[in-house]
Amino acid sequence: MGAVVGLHLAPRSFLPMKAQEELVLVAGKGIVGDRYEKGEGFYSDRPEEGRQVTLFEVETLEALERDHRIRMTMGDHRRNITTRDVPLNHLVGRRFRIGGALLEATRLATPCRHIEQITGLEVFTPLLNRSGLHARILIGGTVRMGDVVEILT
Amino acid sequence: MKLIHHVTTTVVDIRRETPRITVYELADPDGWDLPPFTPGSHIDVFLDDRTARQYSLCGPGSRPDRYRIAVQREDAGRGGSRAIHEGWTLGTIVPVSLPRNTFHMGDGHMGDGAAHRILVAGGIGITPIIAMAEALAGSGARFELHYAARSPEEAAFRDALENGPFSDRVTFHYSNGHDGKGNGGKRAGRLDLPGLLAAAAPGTHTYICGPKPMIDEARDVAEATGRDDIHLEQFGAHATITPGAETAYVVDLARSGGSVEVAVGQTMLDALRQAGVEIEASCHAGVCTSCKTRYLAGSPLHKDLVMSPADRREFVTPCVSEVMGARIVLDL
Ligand code: FES
Repeated sequence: MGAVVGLHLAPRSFLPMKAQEELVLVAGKGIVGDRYEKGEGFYSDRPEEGRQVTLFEVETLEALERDHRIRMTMGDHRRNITTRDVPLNHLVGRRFRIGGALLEATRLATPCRHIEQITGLEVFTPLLNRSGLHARILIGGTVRMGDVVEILT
Repeated sequence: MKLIHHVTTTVVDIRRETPRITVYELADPDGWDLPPFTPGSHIDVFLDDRTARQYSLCGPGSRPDRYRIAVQREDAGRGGSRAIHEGWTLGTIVPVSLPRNTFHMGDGHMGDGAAHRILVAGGIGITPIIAMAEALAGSGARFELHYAARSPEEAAFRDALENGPFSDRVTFHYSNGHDGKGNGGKRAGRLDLPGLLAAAAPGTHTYICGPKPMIDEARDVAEATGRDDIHLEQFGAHATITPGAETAYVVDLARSGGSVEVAVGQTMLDALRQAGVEIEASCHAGVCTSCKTRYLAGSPLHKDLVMSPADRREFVTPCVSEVMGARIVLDL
């Protein structure tokens, strides 16, 4: 079963993402202390209701290293929750539970130049179609490392 | 100015270093780590929407939550340093860019593979050099540092250089003849840069940051000998640029089909913007490449300070560069 292998946040655009043991998700808002909850993200001037939390597959990082020799950490991809064994691309429109929170996947994330700027890595093209997932928070709660991702119908 | 499109910092420490140089420490408002940098990096400091100045990061390598810059007051300059000296107090919010490194020790941190390194600083050019010295000392690498300044009173970071952990590798060269009796570091006469470069053993890489005459002197040696182990960064390079066309010319816009006239004394960037063409720009000094634009025909007179010859065959920086001849065609 799929699970959480990384949790990250940063309070403002450009700042390095820091690993956390847990994230507190607030329904309809975002992650406590994260830039998008505070309106201080790079894209906060283009707010989007369905982008309260972002997720990313650890398998993508492994594929980038294997196929493109690009080494990216879980902090570099700048999404909040890194998962293993969760088919994120298939979740759009569906609901799923992580820890105490209930989420609804809204759309696939698109790769962004902001990451290239920050990491200095050319990852835009290799990340096409596997750049993670945006979700909205239906029920808030705490998400911890190792929490299982339970996909509802 | 949109802060979210910059790295937002706040002034957390101000220290008068010499009568003209003040050192500022910048931090995230919440004390979060800042985007990392390698020795030799600089940041653009934004004074307002259209005005940015470059400052080298002087460290501290040991504090991932701090950027330290040293600002020398230039009363004859364009006013940026004066605005900082007079306007910044503790708590001032300062938007900056991500760190960029055009003066690095090889690819990545100390990737030049040198057996020995000679670091040479002239005046305020000590700012990136001290960050390099700190990193080299920290990793146990071999290096020596030569610092040319007018007098001990005008030498920045003198305390760290005289009394710090690598003071035994520092030689001060004071041009006013002052022997600058201090605590640590060696004293020597006027810096003989060609002599120093000629005496460097094979496998040595030399990093030089200083004013134009110093850089010119080193470049002459590098060109005459064909050596590629001499690395240069001209401090205050932007101050030597006077933007604006000397003769009028026309810019043709390949994609949108229009054309824009650039008058004498006007920059290509200003002319384009006045004509309603959206074009990014940050430093207005040919340093940051944010205005870099592809050209399809014509011969630019490149005045940027950073593009490689390969880049220059394809791109032009409209903030400072001009055109040889009557027209240029831009891919806009
Ligand atoms: S605006 Fe910086 S190079 Fe032109």
